[in-house]
Amino acid sequence: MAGQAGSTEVPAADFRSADDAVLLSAAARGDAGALVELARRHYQPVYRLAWRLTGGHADSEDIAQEAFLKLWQNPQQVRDAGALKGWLMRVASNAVIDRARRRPLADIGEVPEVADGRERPDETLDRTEAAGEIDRRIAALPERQKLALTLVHFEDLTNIEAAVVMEVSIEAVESLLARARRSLRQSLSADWQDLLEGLNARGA
Amino acid sequence: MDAVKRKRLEEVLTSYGADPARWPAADRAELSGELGVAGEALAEAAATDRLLQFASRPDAASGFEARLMARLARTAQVTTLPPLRPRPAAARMKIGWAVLPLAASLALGIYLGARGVIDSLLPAAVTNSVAAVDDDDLTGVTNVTDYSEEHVS
Repeated sequence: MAGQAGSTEVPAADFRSADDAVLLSAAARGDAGALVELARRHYQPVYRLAWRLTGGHADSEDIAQEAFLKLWQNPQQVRDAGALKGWLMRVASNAVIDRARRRPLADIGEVPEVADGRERPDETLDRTEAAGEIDRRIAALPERQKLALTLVHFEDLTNIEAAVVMEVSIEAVESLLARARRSLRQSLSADWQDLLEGLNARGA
Repeated sequence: MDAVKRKRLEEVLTSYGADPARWPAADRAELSGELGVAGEALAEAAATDRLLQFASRPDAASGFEARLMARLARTAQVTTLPPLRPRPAAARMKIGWAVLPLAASLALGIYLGARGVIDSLLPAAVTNSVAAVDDDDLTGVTNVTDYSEEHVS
């Protein structure tokens, strides 16, 4: 054991100007402040990935933090700072899969909606409802399709970066993306026009 | 536009959507000028993009740095050195069995040497010189005057 973070205090801006490689080296020497600065830079996409893959489960923060804890425990695992984001994404996605195997995560598709007691068949969906509907359809996609879509469409990874994270070929990533988008279109086909018209009517 | 290019354009639209900014760089350079011929594939890709655009983009709850820091404080780092581990029992057994033939050979050699059994197997030059050495009086005891006898006489 090399060391432990000695304080729970969030450090000052000592590392703000340092690049990721410097921060990784400092974290490897046991500097928790460097790790927290890395988290400031990369936490949100890792959190969103966990959120998307778990279907908005409350464990998302725990999973994102787990990725950073793994980095903290052994920073030497990331030899190239340019690969850090992808590495964190892979650890987080593996953590989601592991948890889902241990105990199925209740996703947003299973959370009962609050009934408002009114029938509104001809009212357009508002933006929040539409977002919730789309989130639920994405959450229902097969795991690999959902991961590919999240990495490339929502987190703007290149196809090469996504292939590295998923440990598959670029062709496989493209195939997963195409199937994910096709599945979404098909699952939304009944509500497709309503959703689009609703969003358009709101000027979204 | 040739058939290969058209097929690739459809694949790109199906996988990455209608916005060339989201396409792989090589495809963007080659195909973004061809969108006009994409027809239905382009319309479908654009509609899917439009829906995906309204999916939630949640942010982590504020204060995550402090919560992470608290967990870091409870989590030990590991060194890069591999942990010291006792040698596996299987490896110990392997070494034990390897030593046995050597020990048996040594014991047999001592036994046969003591019995003189192996002399016949050795070259004469070796056995004769050993015998000659045996015959030499290396101590010089035999040349010493037997004072005890002189005193007696």
